Amino acid sequence: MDNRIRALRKEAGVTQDELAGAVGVTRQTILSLENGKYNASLQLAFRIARYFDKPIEEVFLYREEDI
Amino acid sequence: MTFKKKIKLRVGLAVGYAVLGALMIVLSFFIADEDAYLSSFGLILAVMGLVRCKQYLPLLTDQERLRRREIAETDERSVMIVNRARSLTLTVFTTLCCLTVTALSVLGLREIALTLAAAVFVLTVIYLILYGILSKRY
Repeated sequence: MDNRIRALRKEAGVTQDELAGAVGVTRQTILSLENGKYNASLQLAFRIARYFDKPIEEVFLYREEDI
Repeated sequence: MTFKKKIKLRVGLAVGYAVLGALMIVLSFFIADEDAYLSSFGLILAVMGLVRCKQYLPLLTDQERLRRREIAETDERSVMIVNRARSLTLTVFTTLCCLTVTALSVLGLREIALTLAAAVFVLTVIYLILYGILSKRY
C-alpha cells in the first residue's frame, strides 16, 4: 500500500524520529512505512493520519490491486 | 498492567535470579563431590540477574528512557518480525527434527530417534491445542 507519509512529514518539517515518538513506534517502523516495506495496522494508520490532521485516505493510498 | 509495573516485575525477577545464583554458588562449597555443575549454573544465573538489574533499574528513574523502551518493545513492526521469526523457527526446527529422526533410524539409533520423534509429536500437539484455543478466542 502506497502512502504519502514522507511528503507530509517534510511539509510539516518533522523528522522521522519526531513522528515515530508522536505516534508511538520506532524510527525504523516509520522508515519501513515510507519505503513501502511495511503496511501499518489500522490503529497506526489512524494515529498517523490524526497526527497530520488529514483524512486517512489522503495519507494511505489504497488501490484495488492491494487486495 | 502498566509498562512501569512490568519493568518492576522484571527487576524483582532479576534480583531473584541473582540471589538464587549466589545461593547455588555458596551451596556448591558445602556439597562433597560437586562436579562444578551447581557452581557454574549458579554463576550464570547470578550474572544474568545482575545484568538484567543493570538493564532495567535505570528505566524506573528515567521517564524518557522508559517511554522509549516501551515503544521499542510494543512497536507493531518489531512484534510482527518476532512473531514471524518464531513461526519460521518452529517450521525449520520441526523439519530438521523429522530429517534427523529418519537419519537416526537408518543408522540404527532407534532409542534416540524415538525420543526425538516423541518430542516433535508433543510440540505438534501443543501447537494444535493452542491454535484451537486462539481460534475460539479471536
